[in-house]
Amino acid sequence: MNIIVCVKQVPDTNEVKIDQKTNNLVREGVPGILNPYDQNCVELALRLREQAGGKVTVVSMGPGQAKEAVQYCLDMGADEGILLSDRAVGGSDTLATGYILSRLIGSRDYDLVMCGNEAIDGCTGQVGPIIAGNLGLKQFTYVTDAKIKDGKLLVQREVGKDLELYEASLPAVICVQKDINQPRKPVCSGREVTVINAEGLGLDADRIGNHGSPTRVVKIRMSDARVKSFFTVDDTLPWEERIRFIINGGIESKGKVDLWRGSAGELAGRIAGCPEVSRFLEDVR
Amino acid sequence: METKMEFKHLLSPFRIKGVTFKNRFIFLPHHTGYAVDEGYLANGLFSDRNVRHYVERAKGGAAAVTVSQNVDPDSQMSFRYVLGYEQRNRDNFKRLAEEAHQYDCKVITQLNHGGHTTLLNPPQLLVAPTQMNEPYCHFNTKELEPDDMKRIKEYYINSAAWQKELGWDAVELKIAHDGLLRTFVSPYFNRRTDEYGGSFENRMRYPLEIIAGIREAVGEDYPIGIRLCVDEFTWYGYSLEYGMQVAKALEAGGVDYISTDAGTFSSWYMQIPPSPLPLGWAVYESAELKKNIDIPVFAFGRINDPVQAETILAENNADFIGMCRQLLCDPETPNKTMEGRLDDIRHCIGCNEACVGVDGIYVECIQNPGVGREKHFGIGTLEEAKEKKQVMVVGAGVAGLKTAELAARRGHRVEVYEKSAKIGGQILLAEKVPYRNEMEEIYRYLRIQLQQLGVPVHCNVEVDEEMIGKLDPQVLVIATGSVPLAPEYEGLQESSLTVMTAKEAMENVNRIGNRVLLFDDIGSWQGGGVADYCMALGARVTVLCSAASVGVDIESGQAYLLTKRLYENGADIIANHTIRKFDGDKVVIENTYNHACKELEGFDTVIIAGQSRSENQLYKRFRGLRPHVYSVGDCVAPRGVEQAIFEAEVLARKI
Repeated sequence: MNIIVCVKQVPDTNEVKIDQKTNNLVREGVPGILNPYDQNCVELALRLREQAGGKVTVVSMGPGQAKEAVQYCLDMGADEGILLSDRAVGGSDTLATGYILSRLIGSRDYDLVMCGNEAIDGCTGQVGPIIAGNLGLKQFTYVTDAKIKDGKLLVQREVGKDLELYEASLPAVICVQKDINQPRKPVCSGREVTVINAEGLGLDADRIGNHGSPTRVVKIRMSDARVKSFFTVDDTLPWEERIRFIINGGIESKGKVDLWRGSAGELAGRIAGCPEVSRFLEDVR
Repeated sequence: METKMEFKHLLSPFRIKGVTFKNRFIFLPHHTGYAVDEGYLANGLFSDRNVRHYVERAKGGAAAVTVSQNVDPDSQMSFRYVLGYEQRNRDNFKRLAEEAHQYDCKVITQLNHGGHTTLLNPPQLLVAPTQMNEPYCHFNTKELEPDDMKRIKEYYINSAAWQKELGWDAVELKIAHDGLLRTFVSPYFNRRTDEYGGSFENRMRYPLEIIAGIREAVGEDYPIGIRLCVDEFTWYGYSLEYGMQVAKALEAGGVDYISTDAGTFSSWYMQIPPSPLPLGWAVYESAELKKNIDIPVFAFGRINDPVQAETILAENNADFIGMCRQLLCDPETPNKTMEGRLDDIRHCIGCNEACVGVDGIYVECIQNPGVGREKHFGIGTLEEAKEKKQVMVVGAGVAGLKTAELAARRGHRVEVYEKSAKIGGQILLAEKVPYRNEMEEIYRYLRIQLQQLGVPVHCNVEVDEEMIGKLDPQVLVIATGSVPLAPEYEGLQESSLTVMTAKEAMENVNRIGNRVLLFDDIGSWQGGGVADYCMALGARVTVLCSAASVGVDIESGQAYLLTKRLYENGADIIANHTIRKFDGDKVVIENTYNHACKELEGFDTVIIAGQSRSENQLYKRFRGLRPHVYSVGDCVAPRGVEQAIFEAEVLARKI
């Protein structure tokens, strides 16, 4: 059973610094930690290894200092740690990163690919699913537990207030939630991180780095990070607006919604013909 | 990988002053309408029915029940509203305390002076700080004189002290959606120029004087709480910020807890929020209270599930969970939570059809016929059948499922047959109407019960005479429902319009055109609700109603929000008209008063929400031929869910 865990080093602070020109996160000079989601993910991987045997390989992508994060995983008990560090892949967004990691993973033996459900800096939760897409694997996000039974993967997903239980054949990709277990403390393992560059992965130059990243960060601002399971109502709104907001389930009432009616075929045609979608389809082509 | 929900907060005890509540379920105060009215100066009598109603919730595991009462015999909100200082209530007040305490359930007095609000029409004398009506209604008030205020204050204090003496556990005053004290607090209603009006301190003075008086009478250790409206949700009213200011002043005035409340009689759909208001919508208000005050806070507002309740407590958004309608619907919610039987909880769907209802006389529940009939249908009244019979139920609508559930619970061997692919009957259509999706809970609950009782439900089986002859059940229950009457109008055959019944429209979405005329000739959800559905599909809708407004038989909060949605989405509503005839692509409508006719045109679809007829051929065929043949629900006469479930309860107990 070969498990590959993708991890990320994230800034150890809530004060995220942003390059004013590129709008990318500035990682240099900011103390880094292993993404908390990934800590739970590595812990789950180690438990799966204990249960089913095999090997846990940790892979990451980032600048040289990201070695620390991979080393942390080795010291937790991972068997092998690989850091892909190369200027050519710098500035990659989630789409490019997912592509690059999928090439790296695809070059190795694997039964199960594991990712933290998201990283606490970008919080997109996209890399895992993109890897799965590139490798053509089934994927499970929001995973809160996993086990191996008779060569099958048993997965528990937590979605809202619901628990979903699945049984799946391998290989597969799972994206693991945080706080689902108590990650073990690292102890010096003596194992070392292998740092590699992008050569030999056969990467398409148009799909990596800044150049290969269609994402443009328009604006970043601090969010209210408190966990709440209810919505709050703006007390300064007029009374009927407050009621409307509540009835809408905490969503501000937008202007009138344009409703289309028709058969599935007609609607698909209309949707494909609307300007935003046709422009998007052009781009994809 | 089983995950069992632990209810660490919800099931843990909590102490307020000298009283320890065993868990966090509070049965919120409400007007039951069960008090007895024997005429002038002999009304508001706390009845046996009242006692049983509250004891039922104590049996079900609630930590406390709150009994809402009026304080002043000259200013009652209803003659069936319990009067707090009526001496004839002594025995039943004592009896409630004794019986509730057997289940370690506390009894909370809630005192309210109706003030400017009433359920009577015309009312007794209404009073307010300043002469002024509640904007929703035109009944005017007397401006309170100092003597009146002194007398009312005495009622408050005497009622609280007397009920403490009778063994009750806490007292709560209502500064909430109705009643006198909120009008003192409200800058809109209170325009007094003496020491009870003008400034915030002055507006708080009268409630705080009453609180101080009660404190003196009941002592330090007896909890005094306030049910507090924190947002009036009206054009004239205060909102959350002011609500918090009031809460802080009450805390400083020695109050021991705040029970969250919102809305007024002018925005009554916020005080007893019907299904368009999301589950737990008011949690933000309790959370805001928790930020502003240190005394315990009760949450309210469509909390109907222990998982939801536990989350609210775990996030420290409240200390107690107030439930009224949920504990009406399923009094055993707390016990089922303790036993981990979450699937067995029957959830309130916020329909308001029977607890508020159109008549507004008695609190009842469409899903639980035991509400107000605890003596007959309450916990522990269902007896095992002496003779276990083989029961065949034809039809898996509400009536059939409910009969099957209770018959099986009594030990009968029950099998259910349904001709369609799904159980639920007409609910399967009703739940498609906007904001009515929670109707699903009615058959969800029954399906789970039948599964657990091992009752087979055979779908896609059309029962005929031969089959009944072959199976030869000892008891045959026909619950085959009803079908809408086919519309019959002059010129209908020749009309170019698509004309359907409301049922046909809900079953054939694709036949609903872009320009719909809906004729509400029934006043229920089949009219206005289907119009709302058509609008959600994007159609332009004109609603024609034979009554003075759309949905006259829908509970007023639901009806208000429905009518508001229809108007806001651009519907035209034509009241007091019926369809006279069809003329090509035109519809001729007739005024119900002067019979004047006019033509409407421009529609492609006409939907008729009218009468139905029982589907009772099987029943008629076998009645008299076999022993023990019964019909139930719409098969007897087409009506609502409440009647179907009630009759199923009655029938299942006599099989």
